[in-house]
Amino acid sequence: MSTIQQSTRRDFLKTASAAALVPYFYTASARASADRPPPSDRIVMGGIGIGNMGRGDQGAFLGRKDVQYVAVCDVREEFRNHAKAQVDGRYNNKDCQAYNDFRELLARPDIDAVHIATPDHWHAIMVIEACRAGKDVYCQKPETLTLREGPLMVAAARRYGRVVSGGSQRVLEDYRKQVDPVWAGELGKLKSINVSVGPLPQLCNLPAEDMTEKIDWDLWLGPAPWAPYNSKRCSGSFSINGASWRSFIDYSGGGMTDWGAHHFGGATFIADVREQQPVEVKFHQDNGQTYLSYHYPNGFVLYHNRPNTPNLALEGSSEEVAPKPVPGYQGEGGIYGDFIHCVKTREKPFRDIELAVNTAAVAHLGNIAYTLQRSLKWDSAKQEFVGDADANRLTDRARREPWAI
Amino acid sequence: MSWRYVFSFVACLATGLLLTPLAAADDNQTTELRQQIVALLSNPDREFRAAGLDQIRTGVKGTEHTQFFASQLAKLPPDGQVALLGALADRGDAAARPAVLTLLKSGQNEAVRVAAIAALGKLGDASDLPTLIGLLSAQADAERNAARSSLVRLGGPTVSADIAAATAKAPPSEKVTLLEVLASRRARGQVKTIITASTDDNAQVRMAAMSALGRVGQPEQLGEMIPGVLKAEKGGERDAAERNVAQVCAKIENEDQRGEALIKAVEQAGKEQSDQFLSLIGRVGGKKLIDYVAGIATGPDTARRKLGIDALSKWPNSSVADKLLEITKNATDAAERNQAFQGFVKIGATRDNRNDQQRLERMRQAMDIAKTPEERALVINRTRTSYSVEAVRFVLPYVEKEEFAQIACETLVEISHHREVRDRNKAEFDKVLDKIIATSKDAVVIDRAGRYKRGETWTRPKAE
Amino acid sequence: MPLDDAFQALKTYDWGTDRAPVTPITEAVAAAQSNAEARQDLESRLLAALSSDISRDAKDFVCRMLTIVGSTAAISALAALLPDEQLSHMARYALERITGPEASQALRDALPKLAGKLKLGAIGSLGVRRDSASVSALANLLKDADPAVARAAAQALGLIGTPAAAHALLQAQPAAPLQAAVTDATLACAEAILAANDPATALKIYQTLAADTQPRLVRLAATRGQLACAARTA
Repeated sequence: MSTIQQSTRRDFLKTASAAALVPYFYTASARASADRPPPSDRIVMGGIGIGNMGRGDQGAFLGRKDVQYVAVCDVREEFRNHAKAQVDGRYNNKDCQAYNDFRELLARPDIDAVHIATPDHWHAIMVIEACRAGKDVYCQKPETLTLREGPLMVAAARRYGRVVSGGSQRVLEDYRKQVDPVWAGELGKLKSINVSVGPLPQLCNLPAEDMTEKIDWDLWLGPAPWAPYNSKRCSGSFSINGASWRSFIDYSGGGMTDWGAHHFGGATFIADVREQQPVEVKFHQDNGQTYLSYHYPNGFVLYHNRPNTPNLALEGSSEEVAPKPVPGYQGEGGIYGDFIHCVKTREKPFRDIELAVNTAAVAHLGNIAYTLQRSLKWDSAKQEFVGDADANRLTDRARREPWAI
Repeated sequence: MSWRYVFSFVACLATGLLLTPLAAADDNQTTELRQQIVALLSNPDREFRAAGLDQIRTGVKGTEHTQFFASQLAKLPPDGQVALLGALADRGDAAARPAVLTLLKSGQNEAVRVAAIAALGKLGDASDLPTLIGLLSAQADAERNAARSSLVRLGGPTVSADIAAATAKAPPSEKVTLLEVLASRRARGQVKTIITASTDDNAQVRMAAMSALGRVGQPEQLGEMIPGVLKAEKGGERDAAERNVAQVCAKIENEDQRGEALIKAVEQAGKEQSDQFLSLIGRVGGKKLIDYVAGIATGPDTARRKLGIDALSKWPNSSVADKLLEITKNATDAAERNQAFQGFVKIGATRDNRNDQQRLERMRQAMDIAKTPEERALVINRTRTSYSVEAVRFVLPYVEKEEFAQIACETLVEISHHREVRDRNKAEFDKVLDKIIATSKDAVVIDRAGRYKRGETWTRPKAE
Repeated sequence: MPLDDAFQALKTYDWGTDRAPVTPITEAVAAAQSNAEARQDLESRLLAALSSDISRDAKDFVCRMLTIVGSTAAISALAALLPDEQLSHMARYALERITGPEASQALRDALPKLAGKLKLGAIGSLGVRRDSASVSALANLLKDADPAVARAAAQALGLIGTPAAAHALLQAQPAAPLQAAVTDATLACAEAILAANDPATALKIYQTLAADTQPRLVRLAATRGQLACAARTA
């Protein structure tokens, strides 16, 4: 695939003649006003994948005075046009450019940052390409489809000094009530948390359907195995039971990664093991019910679907721990504001890609343990299973040509 | 220079250089690294500056290096100082503290002062409390906010106790902030100070203290919270005080034990005060207290009946629904009937551990006895807590009635928000959503209906 | 036996048919780790199915199963599918995950026989496998007339990440459209070399990329890399 690597907008600004190629510099909406920063201080953004979560993300960024939104990209014509209309309506002009192919959007030197909300099978390729193109990235959860993708995304972000934020706002916002007392030491040293989430992704062999929408099917599939068009296969609805791409293994880790990105993210935040990955995943069977326990280097145990245990049930201990301050968002406007703040200051966002990758890894490790129905030891430094060649085969999957990471 | 030239040049270098190992690491390399980092701090490109700052955050370790980096503060322009202060704070080595304090004392730039105050929260200790507490009265909002955050964050074994001691002596406005700080620090060991403040003569102080107790208080402090309830002025302050006591009661898992703990606490105030606590008892609830409160709600004294119905209407679950229904049916006074009816609808719709069908059944009962359009509208409104297709069917006919059409659309779109219900009954919901789009006059409701029909999400705006 | 029935069902399996009848194969594959005999039997049956007249979706399913139980015995059958427009990807799906040098050799041997997208796929798989024996072959492809092939070769060399791969990239004289890909791969090699605890070699690479003549983003990456090397040795 084509690699995109460009100079930044600030370099670009130096080339006055080139500026005429890009409408942003000439729009009325781009002018400074009493309540908006001047154009040079705004973050110029585009969005890739604006079908569902992407619309919410687009709305959040579009509503910010310190953002100038200039481009949208979606393989569906209807979504693309709707997203462009949203932007043009906001700025009262026709300047937003709409793209079918994300590579064209990333090739624009005037764009500082992108948000990505495509199906999961695209995330790694797009995040890495965006970093190579010098863009900062806000990527929806779950950030990865396979274990191998995560470190490559982190490496690309670090290589080019990009700000890359994962997209689960719930990690901080939904679990704060549990985080505060645990981090204050009120439960002593935390022994375990249970997460109830699922199901696993399934193979999709839905039949071919007549295409009733204008969609670039080859580009929707991208790196995933070829399959005939079916509206449920590519539906962006939230179903994880066979009525959307979230259900299917070629595009998603199923409920384990979809809601798991929130719950596992919250649990590892509560336990303050966000910066680590488990060293072992034990597969248990109890009266016909299967469940997992993830074991962390510090002794903390994260359960998945532990019988008779509510979601996010905490198990403390009498071992005293020192209280510590709880990290949070910077800037104004929740997770989106945190990202924009960091784009400006070059600090790491609350949901830095490395932390998001660690959360997704929990879900992937679980999917592999359930698939193979056995316990697994995980060497997070080497990113490989210890003494289980079959499990190592499941850490990644070949991408359909011409796509690669 | 063209790219082709660059790579030819690189190739020449590479063929030779890759074969030649570098000398071993030595002190010169450390010095060189530090100089590279310092040079980057002055780079005009913020991303290059960030590369240097990243190294200060997590790179080369050691006190001597920290002091070296901190010594650069004085040489940088304000925006560089702000960035370096942030990096030194993240580095977390207290060796940078003296330089931070120096800058704070001498700095005139507000952004720099704010960054220094924030850094002090991560690098400082108990000896910085006077400085930070003093800054709670700073002129600039940003400095005050930074000082408050740093007081919450400041580490050290005696810091919470020292803050509590300062709280006791502080003037009211500062006391309010310090009470909030103690609560945010979850300073359980300092509840005595907070309890004392809960009966302060200043209402703001009392409210801050009760709020802090709600967050950090434990069941054993319930008795000591009761004087704070009595001292609270009726209205908003009293309501808030009761909610804070109820919040502490909720930390007792067993319902009966919860009720007993509250009664024991309340009795310490004397039996003659008991009616004053009816509302509080209602908020805490519990099977053992139902008969006691219901007896008052149906007793001979009109004023006490009103208090009793009010208490039942605040119950945390639906266990009092039948009592309220009975009172509604039997009431002879219109105002009393209306009070009980509203309480019944509120309690019947509460999302406690009943299922959606049980909640809906309560709404059906309410609709059967509703007498006015306002009462019917209330029932339609609250049916939204039953996330079920049956609730949709119950409300849908009201879309056809002009006086209820708008509230019915609102309720239907709220139920449609729950995709697990919507996805299971997609065809039926699609028709309902079409009807909402055609009927509603509320742009938000129409937008939401459209989104749900397309399988999209909608993010509820945060409450102000 | 359920497994026999499942292989029977595979003959009519296609997009739109019930998945349940072939599920016993999935379960048997998952359970086969500790039973060499069962594993070999499964592989034989899967390979027989792959060479039979079954649907594209059924062959797709077989390749997914071979991802786990495929061994050197499966390599020639899978490699034979690499030039097949419809099945090349799923053949790699299995081949890319089969451990041992034989699978890499098969992908490497296929390179001269492949063109266009299918060639890009094989190159990408060699990169994913971090096959250091392929450095020479990939280095030659950096000069390929098809820029997409040269770009894929650069990316694969970056993934391999050895000093030899870095050397090949640094010696390349890429045309303008390929420069960014070659630079990115070179940077990736430097990271791998640093991670392998050779900061001196990594630093030399970064120093060559830090020249003022380089694009800003490359200089930034090289600067970050130099700092990382220096921090390692300081």
